[in-house]
Amino acid sequence: MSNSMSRRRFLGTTAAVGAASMLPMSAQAAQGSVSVWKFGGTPQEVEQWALRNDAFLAANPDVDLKYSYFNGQIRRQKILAGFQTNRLADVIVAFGQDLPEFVGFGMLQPLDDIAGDKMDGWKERIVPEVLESGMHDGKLYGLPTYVDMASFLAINLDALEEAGFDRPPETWSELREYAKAMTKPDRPGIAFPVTTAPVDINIFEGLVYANGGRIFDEETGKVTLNEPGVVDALQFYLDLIADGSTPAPTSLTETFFRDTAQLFGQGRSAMWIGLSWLNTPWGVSEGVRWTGVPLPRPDTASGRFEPVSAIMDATAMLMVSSRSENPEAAAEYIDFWSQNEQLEIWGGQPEIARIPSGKAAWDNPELEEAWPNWVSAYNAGKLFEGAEPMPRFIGVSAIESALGTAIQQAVLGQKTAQEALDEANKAAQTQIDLIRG
Amino acid sequence: MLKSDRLLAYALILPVVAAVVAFVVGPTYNVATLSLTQVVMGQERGFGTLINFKTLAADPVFGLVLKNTAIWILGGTLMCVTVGLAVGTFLAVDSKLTGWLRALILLPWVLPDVVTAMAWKWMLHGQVGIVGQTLQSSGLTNETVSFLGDPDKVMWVLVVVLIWRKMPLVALILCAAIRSVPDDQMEAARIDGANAVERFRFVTLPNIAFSLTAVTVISMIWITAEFALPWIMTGGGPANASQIMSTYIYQQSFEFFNWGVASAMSVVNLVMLVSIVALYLYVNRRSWASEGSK
Amino acid sequence: MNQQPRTLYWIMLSLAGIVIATYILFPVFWLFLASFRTESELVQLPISFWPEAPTLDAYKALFSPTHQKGQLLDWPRLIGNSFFIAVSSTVLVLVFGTLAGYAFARLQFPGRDLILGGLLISRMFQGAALLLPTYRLMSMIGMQDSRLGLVLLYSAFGLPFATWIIASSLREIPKELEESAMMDGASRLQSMVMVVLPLATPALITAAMWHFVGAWSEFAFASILLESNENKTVTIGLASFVELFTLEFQYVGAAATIVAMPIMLIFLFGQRYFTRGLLAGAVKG
Repeated sequence: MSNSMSRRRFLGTTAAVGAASMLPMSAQAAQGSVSVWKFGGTPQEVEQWALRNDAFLAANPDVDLKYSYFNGQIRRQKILAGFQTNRLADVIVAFGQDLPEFVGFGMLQPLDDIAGDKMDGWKERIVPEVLESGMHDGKLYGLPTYVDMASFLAINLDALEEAGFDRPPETWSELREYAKAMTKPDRPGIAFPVTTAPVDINIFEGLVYANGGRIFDEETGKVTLNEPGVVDALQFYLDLIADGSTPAPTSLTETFFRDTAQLFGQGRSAMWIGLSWLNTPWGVSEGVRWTGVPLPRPDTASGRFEPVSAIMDATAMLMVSSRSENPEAAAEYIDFWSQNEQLEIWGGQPEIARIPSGKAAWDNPELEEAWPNWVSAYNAGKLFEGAEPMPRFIGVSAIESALGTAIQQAVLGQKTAQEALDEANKAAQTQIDLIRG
Repeated sequence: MLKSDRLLAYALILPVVAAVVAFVVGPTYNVATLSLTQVVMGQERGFGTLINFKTLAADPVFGLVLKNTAIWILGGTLMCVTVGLAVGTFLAVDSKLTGWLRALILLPWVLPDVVTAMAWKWMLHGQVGIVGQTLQSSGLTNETVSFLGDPDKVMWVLVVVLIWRKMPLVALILCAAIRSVPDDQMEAARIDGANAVERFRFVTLPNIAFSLTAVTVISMIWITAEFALPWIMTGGGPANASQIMSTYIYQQSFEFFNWGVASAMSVVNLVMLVSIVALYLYVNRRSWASEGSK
Repeated sequence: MNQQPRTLYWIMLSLAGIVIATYILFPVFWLFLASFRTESELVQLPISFWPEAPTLDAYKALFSPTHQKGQLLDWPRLIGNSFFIAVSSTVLVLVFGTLAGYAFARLQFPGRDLILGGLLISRMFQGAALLLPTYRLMSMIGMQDSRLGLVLLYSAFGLPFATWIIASSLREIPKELEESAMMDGASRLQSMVMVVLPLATPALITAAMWHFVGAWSEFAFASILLESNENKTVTIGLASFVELFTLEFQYVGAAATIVAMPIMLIFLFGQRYFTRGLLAGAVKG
């Protein structure tokens, strides 16, 4: 079934490309060479990206596309090295969380300046809240192809019913109660990843933002890790552990998001807290009936900022480097990726792990089949309501790293939540002052 | 010695010295100047400041990093050489088994460390890894073991993986050295009634003194530079329990974009390492310099 | 009385062999086994030791054009590039390392020990901090995306240690052999090539193996320097399977097997020379 589906869509794409190339070329057809650096991604995404590049070349025969794919783990060092030596690619596909730093260092140019005439089309085709996540200082710097959102909860439906519940939990105290009730001697009720992997920290940030906490206050330039919004979110993790509903703390600090998903998929935990993709990048294991829901909200948010429903980040955002010698072709390439044919890659076929940014992708039956909850929330206009971009500002990695250490210290019982975060706050403030000068 | 000899000598060593100066000393000098430069918002501003070193001194994590690095470098080198010597002695024995092992033992070296680090991380995991599962199912432990999640164990577990990767070559070099110990000396010792331990101590060891010095220095250099293994396996966690110089330098430069501080740390690292190695080379000078040990 | 310790000796020896072999080889063996597993088996718990439904799909996928195109991995080319880089830089290191090693071992000149020590110490400064300066240097000389650039870089990295091992082994060779050859009318160069080098074979092989494998498995510099797909090396290909999102150990295992095979064959061949103990025999004779 999925085979025939992909063939249909493939034919659709080639037909569309064919049609595009039949059209009379616009007055200034892009030409010359354009280089693209792409970092990491799920296997489907990596494969599709390369295949679609051929379609781009077919539609732009005068463009010499130099596409380089790199391991996701060398993203920042490669971009930095390219920047320092004036050899940055024209188009960089990086993370939304990178934006402020890259803009602040002068690596990027606003898309408004080079693709002004194309932006109306982007606004038409892309979900406004998602396109917004490519903005910085009032200008658009990145075109997001999809986003990941934090935080979500995967629930094993058999375990849920077995414990006598007929609906997912909705508040933190309910979640504690559920987790406890769903815990069996050899199967914890809930698991969450607590390693140093950035994704694991993003997952926790989802809790923080929902609780009205932030990790940094841009207005005052102060790190806000030790405020109640963050401390109480960490305390919630600790409460789940103290309830005996989780794996051992040392196991949590050993198990990053992918392993946590695997354990859940094998029935080794009844729930897990993750980003929006939950178990989808690795297929759903047979025998486990599960669903994904937004993570329950705190009973009362204790932070001083606005509680948000979710935070999101695009990990394949197209940006144009400030040193690009061929911004025209670069804009053309970005425009190509803003077309429905490309954005539909993330509409459930072939990629079901991501939240698509293209409006058209939301009509795909595959997406509805995989994520009925998302699609109904999207159609009701609620999926992105109150959602904000993930933390991003100059020095974000330093704060997230300090936060990661604090979470681990508290989970391992080395320090209380407050102590750990006080210390992290201080360390992060020093780092950020240094970077910002 | 003759003057022509001297010229010949300089001509012979010129390519090596030139290559090293160009590709190693140049970038090193670069880092040294960067350590004295303040980096703000990704731009280099103001040369001639000690701010990077001051920041480092005030950094609470740095103390922990120094302690972990000591375990990593000193513990790692010591174990690498001792285990390597034991394995090398074993491999020096003539048999079919050792013949095969001598080739197969290099397998850990052939695969890039990115891959071996991921494989070890996967294997060691308490629940999804074969090692963790075997320990539990065989009844050796009741609880799930979390080698990489337990701050008390993690550093030593990393050292075990490090030895796995670095020891084979040490063993092979020492094996070659042991095999080139002159047979007549060995025979003489045997006739004099020396037992195996005595023969090892009084015949083998003096003969391989140079190689031993060499592999000690070399392993120390390798181990100091090794970064992918700890970084991929733990990312310095949990709670910085496995944060070492090389990973912290990486984090400072590419995650925090603080390469002034990273350069300062590299300089501190270099000074410490050079002092240790210089001292070691000086103490053992008879085994490597001048006309050799004999 | 003689029989029992001998048996005991062999038992102990075999036991030691098994322990060493398990420690060293198990992780590699585990990857090898993974190459025959299916994706669903790889996530399955509890883990079954032997693949339940062994398949060659991973190997087929590695060489199938669509898969290669998607991943931009052309394995024959990756292997060819790595071979070119590793072999060329090994040759450079051996030639220049031997020349310099000979000078350090046999000739007197001011600053000899100091230069040798300096060369070694120069290698101590490496790791993450050098990535950017090195990248800058390579891009300055226009070799940031070039196989030749990596050959030069790896050679520079490998030369100090290779020089050191070769020098030390040459030093162990009795001077008299060379002197008698020179007495017979051979020039210094002739005597070095004809008399000394054959005796230093084990050291040369050690240095060659060490450098070859180092160059073959280097990732950090290759991954940041190389951009075009034509230039990429096997380590980059291998690393592409260990992305954050993927659990594709079947591909890692299959690619690792393909990558390791040729090297292992070279070593199995090389180790015969390695074990012959040329030096010991020569000294006796």
